[in-house]
Amino acid sequence: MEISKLSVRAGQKTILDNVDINIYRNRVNTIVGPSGGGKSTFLKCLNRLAELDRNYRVTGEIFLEGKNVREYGEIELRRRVGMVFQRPNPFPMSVYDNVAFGLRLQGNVKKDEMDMMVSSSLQEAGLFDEVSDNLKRPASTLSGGQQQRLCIARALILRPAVLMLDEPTSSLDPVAKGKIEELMLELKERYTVVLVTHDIGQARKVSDYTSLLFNGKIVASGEGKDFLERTSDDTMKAFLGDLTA
Amino acid sequence: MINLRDHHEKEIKWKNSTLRNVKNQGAKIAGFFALLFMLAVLVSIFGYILHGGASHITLRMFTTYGNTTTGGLLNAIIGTWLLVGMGLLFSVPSGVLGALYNVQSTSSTRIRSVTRLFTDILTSVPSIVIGLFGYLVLVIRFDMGFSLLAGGIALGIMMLPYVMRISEISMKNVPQEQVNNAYALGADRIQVASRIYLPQARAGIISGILLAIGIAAGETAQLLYTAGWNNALPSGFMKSQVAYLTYVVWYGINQPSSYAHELAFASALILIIMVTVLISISKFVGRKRV
Ligand SMILES: Nc1ncnc2c1ncn2[C@@H]1O[C@H](COP(=O)(O)OP(=O)(O)O)[C@@H](O)[C@H]1O
Ligand SMILES: [Mg+2]
Repeated sequence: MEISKLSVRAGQKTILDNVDINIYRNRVNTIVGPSGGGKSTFLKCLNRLAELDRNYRVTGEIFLEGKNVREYGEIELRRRVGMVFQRPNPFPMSVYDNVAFGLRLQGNVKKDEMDMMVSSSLQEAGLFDEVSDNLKRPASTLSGGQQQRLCIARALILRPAVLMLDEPTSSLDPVAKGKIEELMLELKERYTVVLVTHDIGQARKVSDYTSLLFNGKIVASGEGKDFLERTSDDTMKAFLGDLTA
Repeated sequence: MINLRDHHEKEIKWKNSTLRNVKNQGAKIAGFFALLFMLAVLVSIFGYILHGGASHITLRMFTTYGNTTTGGLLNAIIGTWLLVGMGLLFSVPSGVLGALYNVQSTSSTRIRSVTRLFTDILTSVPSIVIGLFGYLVLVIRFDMGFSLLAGGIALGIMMLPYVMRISEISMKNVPQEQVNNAYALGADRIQVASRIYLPQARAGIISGILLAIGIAAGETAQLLYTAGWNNALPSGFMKSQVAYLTYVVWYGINQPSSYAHELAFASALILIIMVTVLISISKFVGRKRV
């Protein structure tokens, strides 16, 4: 994906200011930055979820596979650019129905085909073995980390080109967090991952390309896990200093 | 410095909390007396009607038609339900759709506040005014006559704001993140309504409907102008009058016949039981988390 001159305003406030970023295929593309910096808003522009909010005025261009996202239908775009939200939010349904949700929206799918898609998505999300004994259990009976992986499976069933994760581990314990970090490394084999986090350690662990979003502006970006250490940018250093002190 | 400020804040908190405690105590005592008063009123109403009605209720009242001074109440019982059912037919689809529109619309808050204003006004329009409107517009202008249709619509107008507001409140409780997530999975507006809002708000919607039934079943004023009275069941939707229980209470109590009084008390008892049961169920359903 290529994003150029993306700006978002809400009323008088500028949430994103001329953001230029490339999102690389089959990589973990990470946006780091402090809360309120515009990270979630950025993701919502990529799948045009921002359009649900009338306050937002979005300008600039976003391309997915060479085509402007405005040229995709919103629904088609959202199927290709999946999103997992900050807090695990399974629907109040069974594990199976949660994962099947997105596919059922598209009309009737044969039962065996659906069964297959549900289990393969759960497998990809690394959850299958933990829930396969009973897929009919309510999703609310899962632990927080399992719920978040369920949400990942729910997004994956649509076989998106891009998977966006909005601070996916911020409400999880270290073990559950570690599992999802490992998962991201597996997922990038098949998907393009866009990760938003305010956790520098996480970026160090999983990121291939990292950009720092600060007050709506990209103030530094670069390749490699050690970019975060190598950077000579003052804002970046200040941010890192803030978090490590 | 920091310690000092901390200490100061603690002190303020402490002061606030004692003040709050005193206020809480006062509110508790006032609340207790209000509760006691309401209980006394309720018990005396129930007692009075039970005393007047229960002893005179006979099985025959439930099995035969009557004319408010002789016979039974079957036509009035069925008529009440027919009118309420007709009211539901008008108020539930429009109320639920209106609520969905209000929670889903990304459009200007102005439209939403205007609909809010309308529902608020509608809840406070006196029922006699709705009756008058029903008479002039439905009975006369649209030539429905005193009828099930006219009475049902008049009740529906009254039920609509209850159904709509309570549905809307329970739809507002659906977490916005789930709504956004459904959109992010490629749902359209209608799918978000049918797969997220409606199932999750179901309990609330049902409780709103039950409350509206309970209130409508006990209404008289708008039916006086729109439903009329029928010694049997109505023969159609239009131009055929309908019997209903509140009419028996209203009319029977002024008749110089002790049997008419008994019918009136019996009707009142049936109504009050119906309303109590419905409102209790609506509270119960509303509280249950699905
Ligand atoms: N719907 C909205 N209307 C107006 N301002 C908003 C809206 N959503 C977010 N903002 C503002 O935009 C800024 C960025 O928010 P967000 O994208 O959630 O940041 P982050 O995810 O980095 O914490 C914040 O200052 C927030 O107050
Ligand atoms: Mg955020």
